[in-house]
Amino acid sequence: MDALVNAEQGIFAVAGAICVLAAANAVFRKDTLAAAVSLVVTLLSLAVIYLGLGFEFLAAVQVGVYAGAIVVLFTIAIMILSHARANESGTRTGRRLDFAGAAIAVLLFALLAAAILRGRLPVAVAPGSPTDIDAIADALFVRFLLPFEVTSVLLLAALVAAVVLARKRSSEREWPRR
Amino acid sequence: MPTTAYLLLGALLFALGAAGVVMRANALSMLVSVELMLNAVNLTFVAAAKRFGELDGVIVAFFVIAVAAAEVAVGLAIVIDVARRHVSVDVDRASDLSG
Repeated sequence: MDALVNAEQGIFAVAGAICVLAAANAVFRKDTLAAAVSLVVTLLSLAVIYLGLGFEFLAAVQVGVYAGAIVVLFTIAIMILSHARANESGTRTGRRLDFAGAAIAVLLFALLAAAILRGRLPVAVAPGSPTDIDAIADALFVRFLLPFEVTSVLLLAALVAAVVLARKRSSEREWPRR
Repeated sequence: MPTTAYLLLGALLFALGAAGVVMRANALSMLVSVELMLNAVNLTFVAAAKRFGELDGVIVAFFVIAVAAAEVAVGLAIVIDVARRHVSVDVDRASDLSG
């Protein structure tokens, strides 16, 4: 049991450190393709943390859907937009917004950290990890059946919306050049 | 590992994502930052699920992932449309609707 707890701590320490570094790189990197790759690293390290917590199926979904589908979508969009210019500095033109963003982030983290550290979490009634795939299926397809079905409608709507929005209009010129 | 460690990591990731949304002018970087914030919330839900031995947090994480997929599809379509009109993915240039 002790070795198991130590393993979880080690996994969390290593994956958490990688996660934060890659996240910072993904946010502040000017090159969007590098940012997308950093996002993959962040998502994979989060999947490792989920594995450490004992949620194998969630880790698999995280890798498959997030690191797979979503980031591939990002990469394709970056390739399509490779000739569209971002502004040179990479951040907003006003320095005030830079300052505001940093201040918001620091204040937000301070507030959350204070709430987390000072607040008292209710004691777990039965600490354990019911990660049985049967339990997940039961929750997803029985207890949360309606949200599950609504999600499928949402995905269909998003699919149609994405096609309509990104479609080339016949009246428009091909990418206006300048 | 105490639950607070996971919550603190989630808070840190969320703050990083919030900073990115405010500071970055590149619409693609803003979307990456939003993904980061969604993942931070997911980590918080999963940590709570672990602590209480209930699966509900994990189920919410599944739904968040599905919603994130929909959000990225629509968001990237909008970015591509904006780039087609302005030849730029700079959000400060997409100001047609500002009075």
